[in-house]
Amino acid sequence: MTALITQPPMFTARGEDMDTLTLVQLMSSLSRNRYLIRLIDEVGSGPVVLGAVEIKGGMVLRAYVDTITGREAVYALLSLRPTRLEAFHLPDAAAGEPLGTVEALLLEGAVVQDELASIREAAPATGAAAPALAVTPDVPAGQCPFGFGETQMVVVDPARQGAPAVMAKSAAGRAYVVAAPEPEPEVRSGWAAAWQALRAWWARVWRP
Amino acid sequence: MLMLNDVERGLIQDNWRIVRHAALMETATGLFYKELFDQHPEYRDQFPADMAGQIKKLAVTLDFAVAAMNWKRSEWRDGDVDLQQDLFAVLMAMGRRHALEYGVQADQYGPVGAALLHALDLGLGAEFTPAHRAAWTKLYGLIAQTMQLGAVSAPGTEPLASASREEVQG
Repeated sequence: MTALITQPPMFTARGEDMDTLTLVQLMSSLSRNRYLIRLIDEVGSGPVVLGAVEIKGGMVLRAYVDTITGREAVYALLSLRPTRLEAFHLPDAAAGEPLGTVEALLLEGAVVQDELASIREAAPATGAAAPALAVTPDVPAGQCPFGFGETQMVVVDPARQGAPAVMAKSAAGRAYVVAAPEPEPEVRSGWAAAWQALRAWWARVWRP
Repeated sequence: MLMLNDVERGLIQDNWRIVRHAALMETATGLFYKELFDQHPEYRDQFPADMAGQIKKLAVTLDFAVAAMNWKRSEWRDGDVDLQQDLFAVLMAMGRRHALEYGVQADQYGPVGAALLHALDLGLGAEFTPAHRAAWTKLYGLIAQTMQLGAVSAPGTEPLASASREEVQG
């Protein structure tokens, strides 16, 4: 997808002014043109492309977040809080099979978000099986794209960890481990795969 | 969900067809401005003293917007158009121009939308059902959000900045 971008963006919007969900709906409702929205975050030394989604006429053609592609990438994109969005008008091309309609994918994405939220809420209880769990309010809030709040950011001593966890570092470079419970069996396998991939991606992105 | 579905697009097209066939476009936009200035006389100074040209331009713009929405989801593969004819791009450019040149603020979009719905209600009467109102409300929400995005976003490629469509204030 990124190889297609050989032009300056049509416009750039700050994350505080526009979110991905809304922009996708505006474009899809008002235009049949082919657009690509790229999510950018300012991390450390410079901008990082978090992912992108390509739409046309109310269909999602392609999407990616790091190495995640397909429908799971659309769900993941909705979790991200980029510092800016870049929009590109792409020349029309013979489109293959789309991933699905914007409406369907956004609705599915909302369900996935609910699932992830319930998993996050269950994290302290699940993590209780692990030794020495401690909530550290000094972990920067709002930095995690999955919406971990201060009180939900569970940190364990890496040397004593016993629960599924992801090594990461805060924006300030402080190492921590986010306890992340395995998804419940009834969680759809695709969502579980997306969750696992997202955890791994998050750990990579924030490692200095 | 902000998006318009095919049924809602169809309702808007149905209403607008009546407006066009009855040559009501300028009557409707005249009603719109009357309602807007009745409710918000403080907006009057942002418009020219002679509103005839303004009313005509708004009618042309609404006609363009409704025509641009005349497609069904099954036709998604077709319809790639130049940015100067693309409703999303045109609205972005209009929003930027309204903010920069006319000083339109975000909180003015609400009263404008209410005046538009009032004018449609008066002009269409029984043809403006609750379902039609809901569809128009959704369309206006999309228009207003896109224009507001245009006002705050940083322009990139030239087609937006040089959009040559006849644009109007209001």
